[in-house]
Amino acid sequence: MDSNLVLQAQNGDEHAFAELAYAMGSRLFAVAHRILRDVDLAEEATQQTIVDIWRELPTLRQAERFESWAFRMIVNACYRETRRARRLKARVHLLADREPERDPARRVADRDELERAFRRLPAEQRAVLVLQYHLGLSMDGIADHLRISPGTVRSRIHHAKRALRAAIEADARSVGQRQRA
Amino acid sequence: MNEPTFERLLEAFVDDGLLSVDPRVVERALAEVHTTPQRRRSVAPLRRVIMQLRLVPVLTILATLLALTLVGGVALTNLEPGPTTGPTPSPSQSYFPGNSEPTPFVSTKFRVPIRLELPNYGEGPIDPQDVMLGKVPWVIDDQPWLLSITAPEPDTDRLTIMRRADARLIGDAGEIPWPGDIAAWLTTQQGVSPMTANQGLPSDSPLQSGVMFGLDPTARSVGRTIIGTAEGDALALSGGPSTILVMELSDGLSEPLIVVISGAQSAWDSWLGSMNEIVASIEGA
Repeated sequence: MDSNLVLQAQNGDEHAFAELAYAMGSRLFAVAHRILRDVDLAEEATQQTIVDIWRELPTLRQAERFESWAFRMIVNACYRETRRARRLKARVHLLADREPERDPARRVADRDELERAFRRLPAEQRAVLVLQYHLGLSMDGIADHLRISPGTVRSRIHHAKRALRAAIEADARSVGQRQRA
Repeated sequence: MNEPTFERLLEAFVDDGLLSVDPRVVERALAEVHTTPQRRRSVAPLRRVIMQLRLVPVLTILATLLALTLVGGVALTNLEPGPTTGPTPSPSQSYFPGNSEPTPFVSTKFRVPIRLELPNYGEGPIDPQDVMLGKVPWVIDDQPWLLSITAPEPDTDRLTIMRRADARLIGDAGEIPWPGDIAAWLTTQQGVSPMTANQGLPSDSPLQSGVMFGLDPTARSVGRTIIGTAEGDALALSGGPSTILVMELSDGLSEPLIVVISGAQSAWDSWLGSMNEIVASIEGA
């Protein structure tokens, strides 16, 4: 990311900021979509993050850390969206996730199970998985982006993976039982 | 499912998703930006200058050095010798150079009360305030009153005298509890030369049996004269225009130390005479 562009935007240059927004918009959205697993929520988080970035940009101390700072903001926006969606879900009693399809291909079943299990993960655990697998960040990189300790990152990843794996294996066992029956 | 399979599945799953945002999302955000003020920093201009000039590392280093200096200063201040742990000598009347009145008996850790009659070699009244440690005007200004006196004999102990910051060497001899329970009295005379000749006690001195005086010629060459004894009982240090004498009395009862600073040959002679009286006092106690 062009540091001069960031500095100009910090000084209130809206044109410079628009360039930044278009350059970063899709990357922010991609992260949000993977964490939230919902296009509407991801768009909402992205739009709000762009506004937040504009508002808070003067407080950014190092222009060269803009990208990391922006990713932290989108992750925080995702946390907020998750909480908001949870409240909404409680109020309107959204239908439960659909039943697992009787698909002969295990991969599809696994993916569906992953999808359901992933949605059940806390947003904090989803975020570290997205930063690891989508952005390709190391543990330390994730810690730096999110301003949490590397130990916390490891812990979140560990628990997230364990939950996802358990969900897949539980699904596999239930499918096996159904087939035997 | 084995670990590699799970990892591949998880990676594919997490990485699967939309990659491009609908441009209208950005446009809506920018429309909102147009009416949203930026948060201003309270020290924005200064900070911006610092950031733009890449001064952060320099300032960090400077701040670290400053912090270390402060911490070091505090630590050194705390290293100042504190008051003696021994019994506090009883207050006495002030002694003043040019005054030949004997000091009262001073009670220190010594079980033998010591009576000092300090020599009169002052040429005029000296403000007692100037005789505070650290601001003795006629002693070398740049020589701190932190004396390290090493006995010339290899078998003797190294004796380090450290002043208490607020210790007064003249004026109130009884309030000079130096660390190590050294009672000190200091007399000085401005503008006199250090001792240059060997000195010895009179043959009939009461000190004779236990203490032998003598100047160390090697020490004199560096501006200090150390008087040692075969038993390490007495030490003297001369520095600049004044002389500091440290004497350890072997009275068989205790090991008192007396510090006297003088500058003149006559003072030295007087001091020796005084010491005779001291010893006499001790022996008479």
